[in-house]
Amino acid sequence: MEKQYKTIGEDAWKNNVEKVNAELFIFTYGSLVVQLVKDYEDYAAVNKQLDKMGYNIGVRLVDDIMARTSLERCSGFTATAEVISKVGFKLFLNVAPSVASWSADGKEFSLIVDDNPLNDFCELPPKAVQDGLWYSNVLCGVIRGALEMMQMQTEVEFVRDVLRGDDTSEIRVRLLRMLDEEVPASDD
Amino acid sequence: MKLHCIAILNRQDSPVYLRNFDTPSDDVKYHSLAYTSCDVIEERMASSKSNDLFLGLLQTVEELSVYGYVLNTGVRIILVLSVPESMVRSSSVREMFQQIHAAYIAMVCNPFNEELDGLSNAKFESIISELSRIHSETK
Repeated sequence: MEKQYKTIGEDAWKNNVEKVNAELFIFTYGSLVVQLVKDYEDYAAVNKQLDKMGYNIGVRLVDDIMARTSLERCSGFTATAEVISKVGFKLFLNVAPSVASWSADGKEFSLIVDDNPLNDFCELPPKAVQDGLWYSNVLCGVIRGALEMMQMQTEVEFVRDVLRGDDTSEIRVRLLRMLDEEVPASDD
Repeated sequence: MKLHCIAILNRQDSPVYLRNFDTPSDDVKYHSLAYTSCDVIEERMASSKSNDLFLGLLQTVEELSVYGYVLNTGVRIILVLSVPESMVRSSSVREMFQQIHAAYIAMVCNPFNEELDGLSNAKFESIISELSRIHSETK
């Protein structure tokens, strides 16, 4: 099953995806973060904004994945983890994070990303490191938004980041509960 | 071959970065060396038909040789070396310039690099220090 997801991801990347210049993307993201830092002046608020932006991206992204690949319903949370790492990250960032550190109840796992392209050229000022800025926090929002569209309520956060001096970047994904199909609250 | 000083000047010939590996009191000497080399750089750039970034030996003052390198954006890098009796190969100087160029690009591409004048960045500094350490053995 795992190998199948990997092949799906790689095939889709090769055939179904339009590519953009990596430097353009990296510099755009960098300017975005710097502008947010200037506007909010509080690194915790910047983290929250990045997460919110990522969430909005994630809810739309999931339809994009379904359109580009022929994936079926995941058999369980383990399968979901594999799809995120082998198909999702591959399709949009062309990186292959590994899934690790499963919790005993199978409701939490870590994504170890050791070659995040957003980190190229970036060096955090010491104050940002001190005050807890997670530079690529948008990725956490994307995962959270995408999973919510798949009826899973999750908590996603960075626990380690190479830009803060750790040896690798690690995102922790925690399943809080499955959401039942609900009719959205009407506006009247 | 000993590396004495690295200076980076922008297009308007104002200094952006100057690192002196000798005593701090020599700072003035290296500043003036960098400025006098500017004219030579302009001359070389005007007369050179090739698009080579490496400008070669600009001038020699006492036992110091000054080498120049210009980036595509017009930013100039000046290296002051002291060369013992044996000649230094221009390919090794060229290589040093290319390393500085790469480090400069990495620093400029950092999204958190606010002002473009007065550049200083931990990684850049460490690369420059490493370069000076490698080339500070007098052979």
